[in-house]
Amino acid sequence: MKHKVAVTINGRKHEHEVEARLLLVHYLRDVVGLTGTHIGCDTSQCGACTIHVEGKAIKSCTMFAVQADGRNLTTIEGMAKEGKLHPIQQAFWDEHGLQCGYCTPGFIMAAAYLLEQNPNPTEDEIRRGLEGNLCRCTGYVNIVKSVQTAAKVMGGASKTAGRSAVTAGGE
Amino acid sequence: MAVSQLVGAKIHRREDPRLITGHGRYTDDLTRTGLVHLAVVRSPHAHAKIKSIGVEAAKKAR
Repeated sequence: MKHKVAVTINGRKHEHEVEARLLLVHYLRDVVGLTGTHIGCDTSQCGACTIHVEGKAIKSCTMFAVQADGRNLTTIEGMAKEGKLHPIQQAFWDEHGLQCGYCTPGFIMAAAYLLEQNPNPTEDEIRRGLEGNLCRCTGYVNIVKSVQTAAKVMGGASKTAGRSAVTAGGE
Repeated sequence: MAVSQLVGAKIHRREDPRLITGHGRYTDDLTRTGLVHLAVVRSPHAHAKIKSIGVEAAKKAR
């Protein structure tokens, strides 16, 4: 049996008939065609599939498409506005917060929610805030740096002790 | 650019814009017309003779 799902993704309305068992991440990737949201583990551990549902960061492999019915979703494709990168995207580029880039969309979405909750996080708070996301290229140092830079650009700031604290911290 | 200008300089990677905007193309992102998926079915027997392979169910899956 198919169920009707009507969602707004990155400001655009979508309507489809889907099976009840279809995961939200598969809906986004295979039905809507938004492949920027990645599947890293399929078991809700890696966070590569993180998107925003009504502004809140969630792992889209942990939710069924039918559960998103009537909601507002934002994916990585919706972060840059009018060709201008979101400050977090810019910061990941500037600070080398990615290597292969597979985990990056999830990190950016999780970081966006983190900075909305806490515009001026300490390094510890950033690491705790992003603990649901895994990067296997090796670097959390530059990811933390990227979020600190984004926080500064976005208007948070003073609480960060500076970069040296991060480089000393290791992975 | 001379080497001295590169050492210690901040170089922006050219591949990053597509990767940070969700426009990277990883193998799982690709679709092709007529694309089929493969799954390996292994024998439940440790030691046995293959007399026949039933592919009917698999063929129907398309």
